[in-house]
Amino acid sequence: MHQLLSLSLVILGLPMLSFLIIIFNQKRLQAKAHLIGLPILGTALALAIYIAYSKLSGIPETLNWTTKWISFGNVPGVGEWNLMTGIMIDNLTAIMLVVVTLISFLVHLFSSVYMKGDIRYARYYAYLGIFTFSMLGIVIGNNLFSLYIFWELVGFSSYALISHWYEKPGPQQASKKAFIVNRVGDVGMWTGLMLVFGTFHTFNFSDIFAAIQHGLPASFSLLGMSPEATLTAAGVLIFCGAVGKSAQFPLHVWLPDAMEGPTPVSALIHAATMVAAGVYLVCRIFPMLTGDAMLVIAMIGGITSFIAASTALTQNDIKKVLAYSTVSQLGYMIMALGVGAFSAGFFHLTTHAMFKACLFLGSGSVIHAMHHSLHHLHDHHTDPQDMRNMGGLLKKMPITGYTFIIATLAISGIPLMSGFMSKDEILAGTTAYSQLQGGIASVLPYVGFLVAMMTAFYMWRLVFMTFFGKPKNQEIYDHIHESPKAMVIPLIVLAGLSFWIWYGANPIDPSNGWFMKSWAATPAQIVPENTEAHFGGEHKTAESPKAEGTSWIADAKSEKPEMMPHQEILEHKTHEVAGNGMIISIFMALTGIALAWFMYLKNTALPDKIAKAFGPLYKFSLNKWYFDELYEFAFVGSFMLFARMCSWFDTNIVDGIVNGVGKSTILVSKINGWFDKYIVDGLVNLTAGITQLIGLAFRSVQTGKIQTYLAWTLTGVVIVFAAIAWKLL
Amino acid sequence: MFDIIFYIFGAITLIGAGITAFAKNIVYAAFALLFTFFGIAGLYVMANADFLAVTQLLVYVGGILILLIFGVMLTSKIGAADIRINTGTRWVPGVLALGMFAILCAAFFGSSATHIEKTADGKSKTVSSWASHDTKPWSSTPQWSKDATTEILKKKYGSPDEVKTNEGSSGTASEIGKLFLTDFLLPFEVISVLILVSLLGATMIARRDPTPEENAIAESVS
Amino acid sequence: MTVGLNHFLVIGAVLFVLGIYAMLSRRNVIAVLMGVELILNSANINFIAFSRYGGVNINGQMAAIFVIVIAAGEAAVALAIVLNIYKNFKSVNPSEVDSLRD
Repeated sequence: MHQLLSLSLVILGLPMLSFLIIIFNQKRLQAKAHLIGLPILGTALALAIYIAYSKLSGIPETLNWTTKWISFGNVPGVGEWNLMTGIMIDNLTAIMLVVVTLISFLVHLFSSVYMKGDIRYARYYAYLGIFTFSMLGIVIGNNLFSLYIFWELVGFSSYALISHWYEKPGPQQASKKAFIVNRVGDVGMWTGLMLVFGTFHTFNFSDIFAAIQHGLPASFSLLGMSPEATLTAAGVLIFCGAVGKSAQFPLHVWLPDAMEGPTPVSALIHAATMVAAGVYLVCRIFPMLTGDAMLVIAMIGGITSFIAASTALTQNDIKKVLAYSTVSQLGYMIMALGVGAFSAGFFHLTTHAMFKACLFLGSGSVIHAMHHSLHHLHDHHTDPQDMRNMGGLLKKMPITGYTFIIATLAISGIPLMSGFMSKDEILAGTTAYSQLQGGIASVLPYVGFLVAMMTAFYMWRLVFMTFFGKPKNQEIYDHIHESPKAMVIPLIVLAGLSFWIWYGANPIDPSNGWFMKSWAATPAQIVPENTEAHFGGEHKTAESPKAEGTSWIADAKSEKPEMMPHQEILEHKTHEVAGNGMIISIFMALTGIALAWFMYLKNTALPDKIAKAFGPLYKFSLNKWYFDELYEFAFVGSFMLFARMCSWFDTNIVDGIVNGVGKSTILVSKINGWFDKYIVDGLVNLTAGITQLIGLAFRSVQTGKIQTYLAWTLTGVVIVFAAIAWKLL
Repeated sequence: MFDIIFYIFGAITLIGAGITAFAKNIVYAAFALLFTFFGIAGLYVMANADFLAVTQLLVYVGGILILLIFGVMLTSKIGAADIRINTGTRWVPGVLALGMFAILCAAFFGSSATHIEKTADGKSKTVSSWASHDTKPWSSTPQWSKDATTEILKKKYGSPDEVKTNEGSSGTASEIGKLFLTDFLLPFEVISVLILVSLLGATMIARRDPTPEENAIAESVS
Repeated sequence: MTVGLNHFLVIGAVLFVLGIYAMLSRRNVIAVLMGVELILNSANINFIAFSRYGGVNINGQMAAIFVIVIAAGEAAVALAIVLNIYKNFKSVNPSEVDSLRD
């Protein structure tokens, strides 16, 4: 076992340790729980950075360690069959380790002030620990099965953290919704897993890919489909899990509601890590995705990003805007992976984790300040999260404000920021794909650029409404103070990580930066040739480098890994369109910012006018496209109808039968009762009478005197022995 | 000589037992019991059971009898007439006892009252139970101590050289000691536990309920 | 008549019978206990006699020892019970201790 693998197991164990220590000492620790959590997570972060450094700088190959977990023995028709599990470290894992532990550590730090005085402070830290543990488990597993286990654990810890304030109805409902909606996706994922496992008898990524590359067996078939179609189905089904976890259309409805949880939790789980797990899953299964599956994934990502962005335009709750922004950005990542821009998608996952965590923690800082101000004024009616009550906070909270603005610049895609680099690559990849693919995929780049503009608009709308302009309520404004150090330090760190320099030397050419070029290079897709994406007539035949030893897991050789011909075409095309795309992208971002500035600083009456003019559209967006109502009607409603039908059946048919049985039972009972009373009781009484008579006769023998008893006994003995002696003589 | 001594001890035993059974004063009965036990010890010696004879004297005369006398003293109002035993109807016990005796005698005097004895040359033969053909009734080493037991021990625990027999020593104490630690080890341990339990039990049962003052003292101490 | 097995047995039998008589007729619990001791001793005499004449060898003496030990324990417990009876009934007459009837 390689030293780094052992270390990664230590990292995995540390948050669990934190969880165990805190959960069993809740009463004792109380407000000191962060003193356990912080050092442990700090150690994990240090180890993760060490692992990432060693892996990215010096070890080109994937580190893998597999062990036998469950042995099924000799299964008929299969032979020796074992369930293997294990861990691996490739570049994806190394980067994710750092991202997860870093954000978790900063959230631990941030929460020590934000959650101060909470009644379940220790429990909160315990669950942060188990969440981090589960997330790390997803990241380091080398097989789909362990990934699935930790996947569900993440779902559970998310549920537990959303319902942190479970006395309130909001968090209750939100946590249930998150849990149930996630399960819907997981059903699909589990089906996909079983489909793969049933044919290849392994969950191990590399084994599955090797088997697929070796050729699909005819038995690989779902509902009579051809093996190629089944592979598409398997990819899409596993992707269902990502749809649930990463809040993609149509299962995106849970994420905005999840904002009922504490804000640091939203930053950790619902912005940076857990929702990224879905994207990570797609990255992991990327090599086995067929062209059709990729198209589905790209379309879902595009639809999601558009729906979420359009909803975010009109939200007034600061966290809701960020939530929809998250959904939209996740849609971006999924779209990137769908169009084959693997590096760009994963790159965006990393950069987004940083600046979105910064935005969420910043909003947490603002809410914290608002909350304290309102508390000071004894005002319990004003919503501390409503942007309409804020304004001009930049002067009062400079550090929060400026870090927030930096992160907003990053998400809007302004040059020199990390978000610019990753978003730009996604847009370039999407453009290239649509040009090659044609058909319905042609809309994707338009969606992408439109969403880029919308993102810039609603994010700057958020900034202008919160930090600029005149304070809406002077009284509240007067009592706003900058947050303590433990809260602003994470903001500064994350804002620092939103600059370009960490990901590549040249801020306008990310594809040659080290992140995309060597850290997260695109892995080869090893699906059968006829299921690859068909990029027009440019598809080259044969001479494919499907030689043995192809690296199908994204990994850092010093040069790029071998890619399939269609992937090379895509890459080439991406470079062609990157320049134009960048210009359009910057233009879109600036347009969005300018619009926001015009509407929310320059001419503050304008938004209301527009809202009036486009009344239905505005309402449609404000009410989140009526998704909740639609689901309420379609799923909950139909279920209720079914339930009512069951209820009717129950009252009229089942109960009728039961009552009939009851009545006939009463009749039988009456007959029985008569028989019992006169025949059975008579016999019983007769027996009792006889017994009583015998008892009376024997009563005189029972004197209670020992010597009498003894005399009787001896009489018996004498008689018995006399009889024996008589016989003997 | 042997016979005379036997009859003397037998007489002591039976007369003592008779007084124990019939005496009106329980103190007389207790003292008569003392003589009975003493006579029985003598009979044990006659039957080559020297260790048992000593045990009989120690345990019965020295222990149980004392216990009984203590019982008498603790339960009788000394000086009062109650110390005399109120004997109830006698004919029922009398008939039962005589019946029992008749049956036992029938067994002894029955047609085939014989037993097996070993002669000097080691052969077994059946003799009448009313007469012993053992020419040396006082023999210091009973026949079984030489052959039977020793053989068993040799068979079980090693070659003849390693097993020291009690050739020439008088008495059965060493035989009994060996048997206690070999064949009878389990009963020996069980009986030890039994005796311990009965002692504890007797203490518990006979314990006086503490008076309120004593309770108060106990509480203040603890 | 030389002394043989039956001489011992007859002494044992007489002791046994006297013990039974004492157990049944006496009106003092302690005297009843004395009868019990007589019976136990008669059994012991039989064991010893068979040990000497009857071919059971020294095992007879072992049995007798166990009987003595048990008799000692029995005497202790029985006397403790007698003391308790005396405490509760203010009497040692077994005829008056008849609460077993209820």
